[in-house]
Amino acid sequence: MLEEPIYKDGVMINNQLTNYVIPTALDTPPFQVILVEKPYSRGPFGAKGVGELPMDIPGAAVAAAVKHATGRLIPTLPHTPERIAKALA
Amino acid sequence: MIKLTVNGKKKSFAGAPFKRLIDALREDFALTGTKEGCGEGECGACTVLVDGEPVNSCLIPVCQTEGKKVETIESLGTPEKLSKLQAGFLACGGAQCGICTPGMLMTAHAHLKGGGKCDDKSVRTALAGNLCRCTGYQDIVKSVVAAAKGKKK
Repeated sequence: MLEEPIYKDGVMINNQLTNYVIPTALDTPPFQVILVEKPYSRGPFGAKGVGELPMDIPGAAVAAAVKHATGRLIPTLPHTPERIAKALA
Repeated sequence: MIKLTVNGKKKSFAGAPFKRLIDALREDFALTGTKEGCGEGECGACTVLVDGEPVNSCLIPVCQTEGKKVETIESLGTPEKLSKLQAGFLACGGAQCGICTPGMLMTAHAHLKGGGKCDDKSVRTALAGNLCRCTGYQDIVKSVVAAAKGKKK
């Protein structure tokens, strides 16, 4: 919902926390983590990476929620207010 | 010569007066518990207390601490004897990669010492200036609340 890297000539131009805003303790909702321990057939001993999944899933969940609310699937992340407003205009 | 108190000990600093406080602490006083995150006052990782108030030590020159009391993460506890807050972080999984942790602890310490409330919302508001990329804040808030409630018993 917040983080949009902007590139110019191959260089990220919003590369400071001032202009690339990440969530603070007040932006983050309370959540509960549930580990589903189901062996993955292609991983060694059934292992599965978990480190990046918390980054991957919320974006898709927000996109699904916006579609549920507005009927429009916006195909590009992040779902910033500006992007949603533009898509619905 | 700049005279200040660091973690209860009187110190003097003879270097460049506009050296950043974080560099003076880390390089001149060998207190490397304070971490530099962004170096521009956004992330709060370098938080130390100056006369009890949390400040970003990357933003203030050491000369501004003349005659003041500076407290760093080293003042909270030792590996053998953790403070209640540190023990709370350990028990509740409040630390992941650890870069934000000294700043989180100092801000939370200042919040609780200053009589701040220990409910979820108050702790989140107090910690809003400290960014963390690993935890999503959930377990940090839980750690602070648990430590604060332990203190009141």
